[in-house]
Amino acid sequence: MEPSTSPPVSTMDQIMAAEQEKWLADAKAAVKQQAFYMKRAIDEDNLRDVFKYSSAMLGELRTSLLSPQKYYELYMRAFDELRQLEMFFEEQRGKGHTASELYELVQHAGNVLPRLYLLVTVGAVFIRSHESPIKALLKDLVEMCGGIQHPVRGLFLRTYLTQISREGLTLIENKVDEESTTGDAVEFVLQNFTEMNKLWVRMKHQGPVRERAKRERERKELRDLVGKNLVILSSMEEVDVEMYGEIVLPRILEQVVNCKDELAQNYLMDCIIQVFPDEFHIKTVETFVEGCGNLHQDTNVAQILCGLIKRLGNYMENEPEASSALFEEHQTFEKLLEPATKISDKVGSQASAMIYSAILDFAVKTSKGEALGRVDQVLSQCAGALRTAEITSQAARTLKSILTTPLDSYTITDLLELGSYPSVMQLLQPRMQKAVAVDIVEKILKKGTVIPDAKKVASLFDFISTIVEDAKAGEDDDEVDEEEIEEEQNLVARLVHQMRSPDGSVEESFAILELAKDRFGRGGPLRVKHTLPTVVFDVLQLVKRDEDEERCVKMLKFLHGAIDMIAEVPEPEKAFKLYLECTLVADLKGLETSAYDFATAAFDIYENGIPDQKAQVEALKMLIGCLASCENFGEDNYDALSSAATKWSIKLLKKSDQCISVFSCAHLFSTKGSSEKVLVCLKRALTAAKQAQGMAKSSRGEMGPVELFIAILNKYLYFFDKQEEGEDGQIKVEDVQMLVDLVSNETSSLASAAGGEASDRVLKFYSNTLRHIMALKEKKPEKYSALSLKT
Amino acid sequence: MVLVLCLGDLHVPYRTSDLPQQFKDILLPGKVQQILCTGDVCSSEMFSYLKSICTNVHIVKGQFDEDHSYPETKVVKIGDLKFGLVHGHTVIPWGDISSLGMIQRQLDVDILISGHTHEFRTYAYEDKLLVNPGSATGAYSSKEPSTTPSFCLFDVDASKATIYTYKLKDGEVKKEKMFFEKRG
Repeated sequence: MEPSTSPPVSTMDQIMAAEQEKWLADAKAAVKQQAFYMKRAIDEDNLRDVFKYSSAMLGELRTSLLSPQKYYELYMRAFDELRQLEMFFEEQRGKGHTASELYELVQHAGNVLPRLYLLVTVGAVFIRSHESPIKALLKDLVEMCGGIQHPVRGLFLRTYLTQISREGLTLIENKVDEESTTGDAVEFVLQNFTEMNKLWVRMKHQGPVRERAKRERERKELRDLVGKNLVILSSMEEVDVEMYGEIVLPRILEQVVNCKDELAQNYLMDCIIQVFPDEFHIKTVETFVEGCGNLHQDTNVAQILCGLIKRLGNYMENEPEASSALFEEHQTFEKLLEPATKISDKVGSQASAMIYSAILDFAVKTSKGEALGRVDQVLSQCAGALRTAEITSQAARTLKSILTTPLDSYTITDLLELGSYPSVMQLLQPRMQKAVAVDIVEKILKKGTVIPDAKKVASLFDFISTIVEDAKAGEDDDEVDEEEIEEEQNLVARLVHQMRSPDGSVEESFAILELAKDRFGRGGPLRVKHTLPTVVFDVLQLVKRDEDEERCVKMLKFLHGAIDMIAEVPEPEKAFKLYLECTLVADLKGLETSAYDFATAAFDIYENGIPDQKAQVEALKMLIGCLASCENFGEDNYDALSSAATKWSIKLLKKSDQCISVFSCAHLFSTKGSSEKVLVCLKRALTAAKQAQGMAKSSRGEMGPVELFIAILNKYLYFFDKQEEGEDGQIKVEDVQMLVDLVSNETSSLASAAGGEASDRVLKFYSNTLRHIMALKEKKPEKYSALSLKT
Repeated sequence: MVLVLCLGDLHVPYRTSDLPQQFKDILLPGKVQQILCTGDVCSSEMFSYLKSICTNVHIVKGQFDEDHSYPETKVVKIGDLKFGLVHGHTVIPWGDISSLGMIQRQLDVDILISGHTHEFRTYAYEDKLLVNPGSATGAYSSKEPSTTPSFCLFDVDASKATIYTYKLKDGEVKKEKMFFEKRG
């Protein structure tokens, strides 16, 4: 074990505690002994000895060795003995001494502390005697006690004065003494309170700095001695709300403010809130809140004010009717809000935010019809007060709760009336703003709330601008996380479906969507690609059901512009698909010019904007599928579009892709009755398949040549089965037979070769096709009689 | 017995905001063993939603899916039945029975499931079955005048399947039942 030079702290504490116990025991023993002599003198009716021994007993209270806690124990011991002394003085008065004589006599005691205790004790008798006006006696006592300036000794002496004077106060209140008024009684308590508080605060500065924390702890233990005065004031029935507002509260506040001590201020302000009745608070709210603005910077003003507001809120809950009438009559809300704003720059952002948060709760809880307007007022004041303040992270959390409170208490449409909501949001860091915005959007989606008009939509966009628009220059945004943006923007995109006229008005709904496009346009390319397609689809739905052709054309033109923006992101494939959707709808509405424009725009992207081969093959399939689905194109336009699609099919890089694409194009011509071109496509597909056969082995995942042959056979069968007798350029049964034979040859060589998964698949395709032909033969024996399956 | 959920064409967020709550109430996690999805779920959130119903999700690529890992077609064997999956926008003309028939032959499946048209349909084709579960969200279609949210469940027992169809009409879920048995 290492030798230690000084005992550890806990041992130090133990030693000190033991010392305290010893000192206390010694002092108590001395009190007991002197009290014994005092009582003997009382029994002997020896006034001189009574003075002598009681002075000696009270002399023990002059000690500086004891901690406040231990001093309190000693005081209580002496206090018990003083009761007997008081009774003795009372008896003396009956034995020919006047109270004023006794009052004079005790003043001869040698030491000031014992002398003052004796004076106060006789004072009680004097007050009861009606020999002098009570107010004069109280005034004299409270001033005489000023002789003790040692904090702990002074505090306990004055505590004794407080206890002893209670009877006098009651006498004044009962109007026993004509010369003294309630005002005098109040004045006495206030003065004693003021002096006690001064002593209490002074404790902080006595002794070495290193023991400051310990001293503050000790000081805290004495707080109720000071607070007792406020309890007395609150229990005086004659102190009505007028006197409270004009004298009591201002005087207490004056001392609380002037003492510039956070421990005292935190305690006493809370004490005021707790001891006086609700009605008093309601009528003096302004004074109290303004007083808070003058407190020390380390004082927890927010906690104090929140305590007051909570108390008022509880009153509301316990007595809803009475309280709400009082709140309205006295404009409690306004009187809380106005001074709160005045003090906000003094108390800092966190305290301010907490105060506004409490006022907001109060407004929501207590205002019936006007709540929304009041909530907005709170938000507006809050935003204004904190605009230039530095927002700590704690303050930010509180502000966030300010924003979520109305979100929980009101419907979204009501919420959107809160014009100041966005400005409170702007106080937060972008990340937190986003979290609130996401909360709002999720709530709308969860509830299925419809945002019914352009005005509401505009304000919704203001509310959630942080996730809709790009960060303004200068604001440091977090690093761009595309996945996060996607998730967020998908949420915003879903929101678009909630923005619509509830009565189905196309005009209003379109106005809403125009506005949405405008706002989304500010979001930058990363957002536009997620949000604008939704606007496109919602406008397309409007076009589909709108009877007004002129408006349809206008909406389609709008769509063209919106999709152009997506193309410019650049998101060519997405724009391409959307143009195709527009083509379909325009065609459905018989608006051929628009349909042709959209198809051309899609072709344009196909030609210039689709980056790779694989994407081109896919895009071409979509394009052919779309054209095959159109029903209202004129022959010339349709022919031009179909021919272009075929031309591009032939231009595809891989033969297998060419083959599939071209035989798909055959469908474009069958609907318009040009069966000649169908055959041309099928033959062209066959050529491509043969070319594919001549080339290197096909890569995994795509169709090999034999599979292509079988697919082409299926297409031949498709068109052969559908065609009516007597058309020009028909597919002849020999054409089909030729394919059947070709496929039969190819598959038999495939079957004899080594198997494998790929060839198994092809052979299955073949056998299924044969079964299909048999089914066709069974269904239409005449049509298929010439087709032979055996070669 | 295996319970298989078959659905597709969700189109969230572009065309609609979510699945109808009535469907969500039915599609609780742990009830089905497989999901066959015809594609066009359109967002990773919706795919995650499907995964939350059942982790075994078979999906093919729709026209508006951006996840390039989804295949164009897929064959899944459940019990003694072979199911084929294709979205359908590459099957031209869209929704055409004969063209779908060719895919059925090519994939060599007993039941071919396709989507894209947003219109629920079952069709006995030769001795096979063609199924289109429609759009589970009732998403808008540029072709169909209106769409009814729908999906179906297959209760597969060896070579037999009971098909339960669910459609949302006027806020109410209408349920129907049919049978399929593989021949030969």
